[in-house]
Amino acid sequence: MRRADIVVGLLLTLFGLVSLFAIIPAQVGSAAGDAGVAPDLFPLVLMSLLTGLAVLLWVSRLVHHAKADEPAPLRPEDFFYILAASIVLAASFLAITHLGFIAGGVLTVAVAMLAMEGRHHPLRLVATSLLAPLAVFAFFRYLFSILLP
Amino acid sequence: MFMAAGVFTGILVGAIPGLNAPMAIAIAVPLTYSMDAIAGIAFLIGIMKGGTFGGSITAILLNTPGSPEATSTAFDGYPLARQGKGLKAMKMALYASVTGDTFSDIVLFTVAAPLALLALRMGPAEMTAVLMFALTIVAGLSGQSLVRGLIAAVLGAFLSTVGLDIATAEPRLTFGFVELEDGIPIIPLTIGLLALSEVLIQIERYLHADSAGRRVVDAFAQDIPRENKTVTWQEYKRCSRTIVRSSLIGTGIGALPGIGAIVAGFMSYAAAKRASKHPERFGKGELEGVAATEAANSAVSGANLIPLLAIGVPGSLSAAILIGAFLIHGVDPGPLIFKNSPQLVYGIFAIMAAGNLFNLVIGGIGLRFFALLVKVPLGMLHPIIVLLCIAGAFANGSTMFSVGIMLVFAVLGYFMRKLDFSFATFIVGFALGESFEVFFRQTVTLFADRPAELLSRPIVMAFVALTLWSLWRTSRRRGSAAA
Amino acid sequence: MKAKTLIAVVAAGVTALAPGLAAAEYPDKPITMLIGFRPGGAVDTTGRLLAQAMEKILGQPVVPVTRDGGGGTVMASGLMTAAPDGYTIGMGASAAYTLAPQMNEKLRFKIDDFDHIATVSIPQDAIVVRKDSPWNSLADMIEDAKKNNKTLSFTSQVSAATLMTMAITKKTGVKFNVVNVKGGALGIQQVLGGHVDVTWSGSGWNQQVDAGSMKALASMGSRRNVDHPDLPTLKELGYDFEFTDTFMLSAPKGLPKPVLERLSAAVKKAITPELEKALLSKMKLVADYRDPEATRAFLHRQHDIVAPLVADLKKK
Repeated sequence: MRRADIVVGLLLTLFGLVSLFAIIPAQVGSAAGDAGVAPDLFPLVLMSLLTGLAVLLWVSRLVHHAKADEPAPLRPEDFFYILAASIVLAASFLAITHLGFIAGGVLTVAVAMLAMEGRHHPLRLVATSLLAPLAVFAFFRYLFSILLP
Repeated sequence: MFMAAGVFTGILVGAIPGLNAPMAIAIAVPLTYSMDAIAGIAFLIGIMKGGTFGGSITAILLNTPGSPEATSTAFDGYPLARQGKGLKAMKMALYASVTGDTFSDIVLFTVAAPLALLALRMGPAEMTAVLMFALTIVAGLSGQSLVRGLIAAVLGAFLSTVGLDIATAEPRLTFGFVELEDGIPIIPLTIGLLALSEVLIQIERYLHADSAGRRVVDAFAQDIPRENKTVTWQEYKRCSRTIVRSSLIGTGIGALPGIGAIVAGFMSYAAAKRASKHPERFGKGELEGVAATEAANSAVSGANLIPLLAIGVPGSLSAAILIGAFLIHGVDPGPLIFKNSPQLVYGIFAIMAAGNLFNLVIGGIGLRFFALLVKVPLGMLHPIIVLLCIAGAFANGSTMFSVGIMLVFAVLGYFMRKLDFSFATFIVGFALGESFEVFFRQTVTLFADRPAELLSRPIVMAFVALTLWSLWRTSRRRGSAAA
Repeated sequence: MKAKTLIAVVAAGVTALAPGLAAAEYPDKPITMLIGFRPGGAVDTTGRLLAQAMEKILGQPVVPVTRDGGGGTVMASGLMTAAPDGYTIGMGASAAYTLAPQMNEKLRFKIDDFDHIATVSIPQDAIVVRKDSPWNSLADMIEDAKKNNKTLSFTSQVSAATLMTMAITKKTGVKFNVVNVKGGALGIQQVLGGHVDVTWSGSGWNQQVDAGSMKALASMGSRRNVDHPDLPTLKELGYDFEFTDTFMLSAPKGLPKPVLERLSAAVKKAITPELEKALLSKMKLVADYRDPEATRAFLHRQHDIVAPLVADLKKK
């Protein structure tokens, strides 16, 4: 965890500083009414706190030496996985936006099942990926009167 | 009959990530237009009651809480399920849930009016103090590292400041998205953070083929001893102190508008852990952890009606939607209801009592069916859950924007889980941050020119003292643990 | 010549709008009604009751879809970009079109970016205090505050209420300490609990006043409440302010004229005495049909009434 904490701590410190000096001033007004608290007080205080804690995180980890060689919490293949998953999810988001829930849903389920099971159970794959979106769609439409796109 | 349908619907929507009781009530309100008053209200209250238990089913079996209130149910429920005690955990959840609910209903029937008057005395200053105290639970939920837990909490609170400023009505941190003006919607956020990110991690484990040990043991398998499938009277009794404590916490929080069931669940969990003789067992499959959360979040739902019925002010989103339903059915909630239509009030009380019974029966049967979920091959189950997450997020506001939010938080949740940043403290920060800011700013507006008066308010001072005591205990405990 | 132009115009109309032909027999498929506020509330109830009634008149389903948030602005933003074919309409409230774009420059729409179909209903509002308050009228309150140099605390859940306090301050010099809350119910609660002096409420005050736990002082509507005809309006008391957050049906800009007329007529026909009674008894709403022109004129007037006050507010 030690190295991960240092890296995350540094990243969060950077994020905090950018937020404090660029994002919050640009996105939140600082004018208080006649009485009361300025709108940007809470975001600024919280972000300062976050930055402070982030600094504490990596400094304290730098000071203390690692006790033993712990396994790293994130391996390279984890990054690869989450990147791939993000791409699939983003693609599914786009597909649902443009093709509708059923078509997008069929693609999403099919891709996820292909990734997990490969082509071991072709019948199951086809059946699930076709039926599940239809069932979910009908379920929402008729039970909850929510029309999915 | 309508009651049963309501309870069943409630359990179902509670169990599905993304559908929750307030939403189902909102959708069901128009459906009840054509029913008569008692049937309509029975249906809605049934949903409310079923929904609070339903969330625990998927939390226990799949580690994907169906509703955010059940987050801390998963902490111990899922480990129990992995040990083959899924049925036991679900039954405990059901019993605790019904007990907590019944407790708060009894409070509602008997002392609603005085309690509501007490709640009225809680002004902005008092609420600020209460929330300060509630925030100290973050320490108890922060996982291995207090610093990481605090970072997550602060990040959650920071994100809760997104949206229109309450005083000046100007947008804050919305980056031009109109959809963000009411803040980041909590339902898509929790679906992403709690359900989808967990599914992503489970899919990853499956892909890396170290899935053998990860499979939840089939709760019906022949080789599981009977004692793992049921909750014995002794076990229930052992948890009874926890259940009573949680019911009290839940009822108290429910009677106060602006805190909510999510926090009640977390607070009770942290309190149970703190009071336990062996806190180290929590998080590894301690039955008391399940009982603590479920008793509290169910107690909230009954107590939410206290301010609604007694003074006509709703205590939560569900209650706010119920008030609309009451009005449509010609029931005017508020101080006059007891005078003008006592038979209706007692009708509602009867409905609530019956609802608890139905919850017990239908829940008891239903959880057996839900337990079959673990027999579904993971390769089928997970893609379907992904689909449900998407549909559920969309149902919240009918926009793809909610789906986008959900996906972003799913990825964030993935990293938080891997790097041990507690998502529990994140959610507490998010859920409390907004209320805290509002009450704090109201207090400043009211007391800016007379700050000394705050010192003379007994409730404020009591909670400030409690906060300090809690912080002191935490620091001492952390200190002694490190030494 | 004239006939030729006419033909050209018609031809252009038909080619420009692919569904132009279908407009003749509008509607021939279900209509989506976006509702800008959360379920169970006053706007939502109006919208759903209206949808049921319109369905019978138009012969096609009218499907209510909740699109809440930002006081109706989320719905308005979504509605603006929908196709102006009459199959997407939006149930909202006037403040989202008149006041919100002034308060928040980031909103990209204005009143005339929509074709407003009809005004449907108006709420009955009131300024209320606790039953044991020493004031029995607005004049009492103002006089007391003036005499004792008191700042009155006031809970506000919408910008319009804040602007109202500014209008009172402008005329009388009495200052208000505005405590902002999320939702009128919380404002009522704080008044009941004695934490603030006075609040404004769109509808929740009715139960409290009926129960005798609160007293109503005045209304900021443009005419007196039907249920409380003895309650004066601010206008009558000499304040230059009125604001009624009117509930209305709107559509994206560019609706074909026959479709707009068809919809507006459908709303008019839908507001039967039974519907009026339902609105009044259930939600304390007064049905108030106005045609597209009158609705538009009303919106512009409301915009102009609040404009100087918003400018004052922004200066601070």
